[in-house]
Amino acid sequence: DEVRALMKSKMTGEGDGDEEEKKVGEEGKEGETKNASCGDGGDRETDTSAAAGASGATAEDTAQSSSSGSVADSICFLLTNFTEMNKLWVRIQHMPSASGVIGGTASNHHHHRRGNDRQAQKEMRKRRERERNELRLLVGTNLVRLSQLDDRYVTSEMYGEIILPHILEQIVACRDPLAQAYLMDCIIQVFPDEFHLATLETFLGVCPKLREKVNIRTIVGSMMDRLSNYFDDARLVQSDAADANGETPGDEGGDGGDGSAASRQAAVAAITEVDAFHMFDRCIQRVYTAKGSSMPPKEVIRLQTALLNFSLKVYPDKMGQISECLGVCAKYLGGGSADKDGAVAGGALAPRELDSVAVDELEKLLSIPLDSLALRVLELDHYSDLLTFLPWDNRRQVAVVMLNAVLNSGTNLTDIGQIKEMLSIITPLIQDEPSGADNAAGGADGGVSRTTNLMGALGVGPGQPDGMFDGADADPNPLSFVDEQVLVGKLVHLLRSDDTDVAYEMLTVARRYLREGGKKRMAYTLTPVVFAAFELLDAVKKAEFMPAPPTDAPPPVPGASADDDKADAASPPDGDVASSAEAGNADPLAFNKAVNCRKLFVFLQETAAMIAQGDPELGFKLYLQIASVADRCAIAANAVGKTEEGSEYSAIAYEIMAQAFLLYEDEVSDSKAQQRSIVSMVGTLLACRTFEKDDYDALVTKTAQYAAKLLKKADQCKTVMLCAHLFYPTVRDGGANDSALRNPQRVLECLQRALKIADACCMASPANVQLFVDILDQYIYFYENDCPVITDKFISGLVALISEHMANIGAATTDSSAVAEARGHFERTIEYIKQKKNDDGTAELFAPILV
Amino acid sequence: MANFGELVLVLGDLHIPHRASAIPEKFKRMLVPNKMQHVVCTGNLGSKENYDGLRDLAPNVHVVSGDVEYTGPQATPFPETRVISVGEFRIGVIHGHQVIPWGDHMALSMWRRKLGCDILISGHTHKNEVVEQEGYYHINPGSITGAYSSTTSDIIPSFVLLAVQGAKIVCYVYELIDGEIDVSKTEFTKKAA
Repeated sequence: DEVRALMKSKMTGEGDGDEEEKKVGEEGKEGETKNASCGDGGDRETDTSAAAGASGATAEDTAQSSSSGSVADSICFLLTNFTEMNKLWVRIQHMPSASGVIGGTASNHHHHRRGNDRQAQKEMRKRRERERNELRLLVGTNLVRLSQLDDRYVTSEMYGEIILPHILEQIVACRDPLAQAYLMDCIIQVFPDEFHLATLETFLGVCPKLREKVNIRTIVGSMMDRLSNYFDDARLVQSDAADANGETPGDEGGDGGDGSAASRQAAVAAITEVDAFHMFDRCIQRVYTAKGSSMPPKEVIRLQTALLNFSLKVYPDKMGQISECLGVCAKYLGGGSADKDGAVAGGALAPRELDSVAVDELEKLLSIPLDSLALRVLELDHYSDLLTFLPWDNRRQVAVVMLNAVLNSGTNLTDIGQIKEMLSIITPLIQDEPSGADNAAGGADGGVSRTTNLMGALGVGPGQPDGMFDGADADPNPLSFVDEQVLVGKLVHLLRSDDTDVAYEMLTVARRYLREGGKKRMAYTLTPVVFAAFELLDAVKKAEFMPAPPTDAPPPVPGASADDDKADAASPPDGDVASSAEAGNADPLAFNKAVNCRKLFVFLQETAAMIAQGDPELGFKLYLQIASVADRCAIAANAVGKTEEGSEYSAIAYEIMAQAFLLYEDEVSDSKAQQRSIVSMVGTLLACRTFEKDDYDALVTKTAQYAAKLLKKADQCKTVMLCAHLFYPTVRDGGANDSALRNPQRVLECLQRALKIADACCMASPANVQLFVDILDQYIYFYENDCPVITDKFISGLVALISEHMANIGAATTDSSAVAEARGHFERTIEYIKQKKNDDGTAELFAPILV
Repeated sequence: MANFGELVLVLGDLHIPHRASAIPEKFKRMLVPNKMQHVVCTGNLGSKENYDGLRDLAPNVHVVSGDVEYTGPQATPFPETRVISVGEFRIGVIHGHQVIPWGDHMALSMWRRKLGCDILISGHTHKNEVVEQEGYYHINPGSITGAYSSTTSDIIPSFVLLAVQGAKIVCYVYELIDGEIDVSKTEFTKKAA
């Protein structure tokens, strides 16, 4: 009543004593009592009563008990009141005002004042809108009241048949944008979800009939939010109830229980049954039809984004619907009509220009499905089409979101087509923005010949001098560049196939795309390809060198040697797979794959050569790894009696080692990198077991020479003493030729050389005394391992020498921390010798040593 | 936590993204922040992201440089070796590629004497080990991602947790075998001087 009184005073305040207003006022007073005359709804009244009567057995009782009136009356009254109030509310906008009248007459006589009049009119309209905005609650309250009526009478049916049509009719009829926008929103907010679900078609049906100024997206969007939240809640409660095994969900209050869970379950069923998606879709389509191609692209994108969001939330499994959403966008942005049935204009369509807002909206649209779908976006038609409308940087952002989503989802990529698509989508991460138009996405053919790769391995790659600083200064944000490349690298580990031939093709495809990234990227993105190929090689090796079956089948002919040249060819070895599959039927145990270990080594070598172009030290270390893996292949072949192949792989290992050495000589120039490289060489050579003696000798001699040539004396000393191990391999479980590879005299030479360098170093700085202690440790190591030329006299002599050095240092200088460390180290070594003298097993051996 | 004394997480050779895409999910769930006092890493993190991940786990993170440590603008140069004191123990850390021959316990013993520690932690072989040598201990946590190694076959993802109480250590080795976590336990005390 207060509200009505307020309204009345407002109305009279405008000074327009209209009888309509009076009528509203009177009805307001009579509102609580039974009112027979029901405005224009004479025939509706009976409908309402009938519907109310039909809605339940209890309806009559309650209606009877209330002598003051029935619910039907209330509905009737509220609807009438709503109608009338709305009319008045709309009319305020068009009410003539004093200034308006003056302005109007003035303009008739004085044309030069027209500008001022327009200004005045505009101000007037604004003021009216402000005033009306303040009054809107009054009109909306009627709808609120309607929604608060006893739900035993106001059922979903009655809402759909009587209440909603009446309200909508008024909304359309009033032709006032402000009223239309507000009231549509009002309906969405005040009535229950179930009602909306049942009447969605009707509600959306009026959207195209609204005035053009009304923002349909807001209305449709709110309705979608409402319904998807309803669906979320329902599903949440449903799963809670399932978890709690029928118990009342704690956060839903006490009265939830089984019944509520059941009704929620019904709600979930209901919403999935109603084809809300296509109702929204049709509604939006009608908007497109009405507005034609005048709609700004960002509006189309926003509408489709809303629809896509709704579909993802409510119908997560319907991929087709998401495709539809994207398809409409793609068509519109491509210059076509957003209207699905709209005729495609003849000839080539010019793609629409996107402003920065549209670009952001499109990036958002394409990122949204990634969270929930991850890899499955590849199933969506138009997804990659739409991506091409984005500028390169935005595509890169989407690619980052995509990679993260795929990595988080933990799904593997198991299909070649899928991998190609994925790699095309993330092209902006894989390569720089192409400068020319012909440089389109994908990087289709990797055209560098094998010879070039081999040349690259030798450090004479084409275009190297000018490529050296590629992109080094061009990248404005090197931090995120690395992060991005790390993401791409991770992707490689998701490529999986149980069929080793398919897995090989996957890696070939991946490499073909990734090598387009140039030197600055390959260290990040191709190294994972190398290691994935190693793992694949392990699988192939197991199959290829399986213990032979009792019946001696003819050894499988590895047809790979002929294929080697084609290893990098774009097409998969389809024919080979088919023919070898046939062969497989004949003998299931025989190795029947097109890709064997040898072929993989070619692939590995090529890939390492590519990486070496950008990062020689990394390339060098990869070569060492490949050699080491080839050596293990030789072991595996030997183990099953295929000694011929065994020596072949041993030769491959040697070959790769030799290439690594060349790379070291030509490309690894930093002195620290050289020192690290030699340490890795020594470790790798000692880990290999199948080298022929001559090969081994050549390699270890070379290594020792590299060590002796290092720039810094201290580095020389440290690495030369490590090289001593090369001539006395000790840890070897697989190789029978250990002793054949040993050359004790060379061990001694290395250690003596190290001593000489250490002596020179100590002249320069006493802190280098630690080098002597390190060498002492090495002498003890070889002595303990029975290296024949290392005798107790060497050890006793070195102990005496170090003791003297220590004494001299003590007298000459104050202890630096390095010297202190060396002193401690020396004491511990002496302690170690004493310990060995006491231990039963070693007492005899260590007895002659003097400490 | 008091029951366990100080907890030291020992892991290494992640090689992400070169050789693996992530730490196995089951391990990741076990590595929760604020449970451990120290993280010891044998190196080869692969990228800065992984280093940051470790620093989120514990206040003290000790990383040594691996043989293929990440480089570039984000790189923090890690030292070749480190020695830390936990309880009454001196724990030395080295990646292990410098220990020639690789994985050789006599060679490891040389490094242990050089660093003057009771326990030497090293990686590189991707094969976890807890080995007593001359009354001292050599611990290798293996590779937490089960990264490929050219010298070890059938690699099992693993890491080590040390519970240090004064002169006593309980050493747990966690392995991921066929998707299941397997834990083995070793107890030892500091060698009397």
